[in-house]
Amino acid sequence: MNPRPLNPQEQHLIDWYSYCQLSMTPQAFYAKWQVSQEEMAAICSRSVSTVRSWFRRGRSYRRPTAVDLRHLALMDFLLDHFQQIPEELREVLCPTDEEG
Amino acid sequence: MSDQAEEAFALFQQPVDIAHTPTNKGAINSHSDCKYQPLPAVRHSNFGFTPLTKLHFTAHGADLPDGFPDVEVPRFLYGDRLCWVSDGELTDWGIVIGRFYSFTPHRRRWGWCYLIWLDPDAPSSGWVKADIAWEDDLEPLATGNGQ
Repeated sequence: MNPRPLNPQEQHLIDWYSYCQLSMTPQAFYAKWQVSQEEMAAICSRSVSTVRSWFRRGRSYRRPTAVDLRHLALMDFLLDHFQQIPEELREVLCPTDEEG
Repeated sequence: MSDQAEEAFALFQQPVDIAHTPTNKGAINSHSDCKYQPLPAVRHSNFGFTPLTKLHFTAHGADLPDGFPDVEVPRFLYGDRLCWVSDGELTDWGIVIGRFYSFTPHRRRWGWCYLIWLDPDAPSSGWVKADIAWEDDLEPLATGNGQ
């Protein structure tokens, strides 16, 4: 099966996404939502040891990666807007794992 | 590719720092341009969203050190059993399955970062198989620790 060519609108969408600076810091997420550091680690697919370092001060502080910030921003977006997303689109976005 | 190798590959996509990340735009428009480029103007964002450019160092960390690969020898080897340095709280541990050389923001210089395959009994093993950590955030697992 050959990949489908992109039309100009779709190409523009890729450019728009590529330049998108959507990000949220762990501190902002933690201040906005009552989550544990373990839950934040699961959102970002990181270890809790890594997440703890994002909240330390001084020499022990470590920066999250750009991917971590994107994960948190997307989670924040979903928490704010999940109810507005049609159910069939939710299933496409995060398919229910029926095989468990 | 084994599950472990796929996980490792996926994680290697993560340690991007804005200082040395080629823009996706460059990747789309050019097959030959591998140089890092400045990001375009940052979109002003809503509450809670901070532009990436404010969170990462720029410019001075972007270039691979001239002497590479003749740089400092990694402290740890593949197969070493390590744990995250802890302030006293329960920490994660696992085995070294990879490493890469990258700009270390907290030291403002380049250094080694390790890919750690988590022990099944490590606290985070319930949701993630592996994670990355800078060399100075890891230490050998003490005998009798963990398992």
